[in-house]
Amino acid sequence: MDPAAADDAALLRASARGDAAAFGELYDRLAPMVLVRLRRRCSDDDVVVDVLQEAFSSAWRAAGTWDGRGDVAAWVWTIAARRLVDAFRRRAVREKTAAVAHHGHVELEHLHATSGARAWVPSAEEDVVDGLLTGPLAAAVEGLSPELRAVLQATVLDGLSTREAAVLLGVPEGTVKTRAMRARAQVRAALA
Amino acid sequence: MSAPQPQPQSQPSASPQPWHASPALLVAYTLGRLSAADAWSAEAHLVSCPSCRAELGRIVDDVDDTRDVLALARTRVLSQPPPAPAAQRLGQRAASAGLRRAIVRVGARSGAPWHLRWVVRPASLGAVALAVAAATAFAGISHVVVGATNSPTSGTAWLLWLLAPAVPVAGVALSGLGAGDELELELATPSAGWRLVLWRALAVVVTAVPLALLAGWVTASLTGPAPPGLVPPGTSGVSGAWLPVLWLLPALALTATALALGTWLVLWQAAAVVGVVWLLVVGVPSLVLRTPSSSAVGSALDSSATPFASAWVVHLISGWAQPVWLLVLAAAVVVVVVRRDAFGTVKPSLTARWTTGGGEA
Repeated sequence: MDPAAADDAALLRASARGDAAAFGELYDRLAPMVLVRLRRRCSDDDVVVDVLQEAFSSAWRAAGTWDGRGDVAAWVWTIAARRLVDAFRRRAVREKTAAVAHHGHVELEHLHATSGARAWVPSAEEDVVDGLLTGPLAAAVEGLSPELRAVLQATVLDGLSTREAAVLLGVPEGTVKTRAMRARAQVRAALA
Repeated sequence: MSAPQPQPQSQPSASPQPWHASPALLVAYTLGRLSAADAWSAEAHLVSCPSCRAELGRIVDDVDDTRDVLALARTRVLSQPPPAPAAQRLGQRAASAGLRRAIVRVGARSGAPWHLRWVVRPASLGAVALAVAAATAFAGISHVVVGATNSPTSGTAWLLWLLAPAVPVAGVALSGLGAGDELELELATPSAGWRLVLWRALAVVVTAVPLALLAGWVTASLTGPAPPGLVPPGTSGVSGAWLPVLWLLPALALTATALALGTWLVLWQAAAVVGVVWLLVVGVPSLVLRTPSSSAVGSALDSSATPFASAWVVHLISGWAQPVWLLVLAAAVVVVVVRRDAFGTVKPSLTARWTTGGGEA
């Protein structure tokens, strides 16, 4: 098999049989996405690098259990997201710090989205950045408070369970549930 | 790469994908300069679009720091290849490739092949041996008690019944949960500990059935045919050998039921519910009917109460009960297969949730 020509699913199946070249190719295709996505969720780059490595090691070991449905990329990201939650859980002492960093990141984004304080983004770059979401949905997402948005990101975008999201965000499970409900209700109301 | 002009209203998940993120958008995403809504869209698109992932890879490759991080992790990951799974080697010999693929597809979501694989490891065979030994011993005891007196009044009979379904689960727990890389992986999923024990218990029982049949055949050839009442009518010639298997049947059915309930409840609660119901089914009739004071109707019932109480547990493996156990087992398996997604291994994508109006909590 030529790794460069095969699709992700074929590479994963070959990896399950212990083909290192196939998994190396799969890593090269998926690791950049996983790395950037992890960095958006964790400000500590040491943790990010550890999680990246653990996620791909786990994916290789579990390659035989992939059910063949959906995208390989989505499957690998699910593993990475769970590994990130594990990392937060392991570092229970630093959990609060990490959660604050996560919140802080989201808050900064929220601040810059709502207050017009975009000075740190070069205006030339701003011009070429084309929005993906427009209209009411974007407005609805942007209109959420940082807390609600963080919960929606963890549960909907990353597919984490309530318990996992609670670990990641450093809030009780009940809080995650109520925030998720409020966030969905707000988005729904904004789209109605 | 030539990226077509973005069309903001297009669905990122549609296939074939007419839309691709522009390099400028991906650069902004990499630098963390997109607003939340745009970043979410970019992530939802990247996960389903190989060409945009390739573009992102080229962008990331231009940043020295990121390139080094990726190369470092790559070296570490590839330097530790996983051990080739044992069941795969077994399967290649035992089954045709097509059949093996079909089995893998059906079982992959639940992780079932994993647990069967776990059973064939030498360290795990203790659990199987325990299940077979217990089933044979139980069968032998019931054989002797029921056969000798023909009125099963043994005080321990119902106690055996209470324990029987728990034996495989106990065997799994005893044989060392900590063994194997699978645990580490499995623990990354919800309810992992309980799921692991119950799935492995199920795998142990499945493996134990043929062995128990063999043990029963040996026992039957030594002790003669099973007493009437314990075996299905009309099959007394062969079913002496089936006696130990009959003791495994409740274990199989109850473990599967706990897993099926576990698609609605938290798994340890599901196991507790099944345990309590089992306790009531076996224990209460035996205890209540055994106690003389409970026969409030009068002493006339006393003589009939005790045989009924003891007979009750015998009924649980007697001829008419076996189809019921098989029905329970079949229903539980159907529920587990149909609702396997509820075990939470894979969640719907963002786009799927948006298009269905938000999904549920």
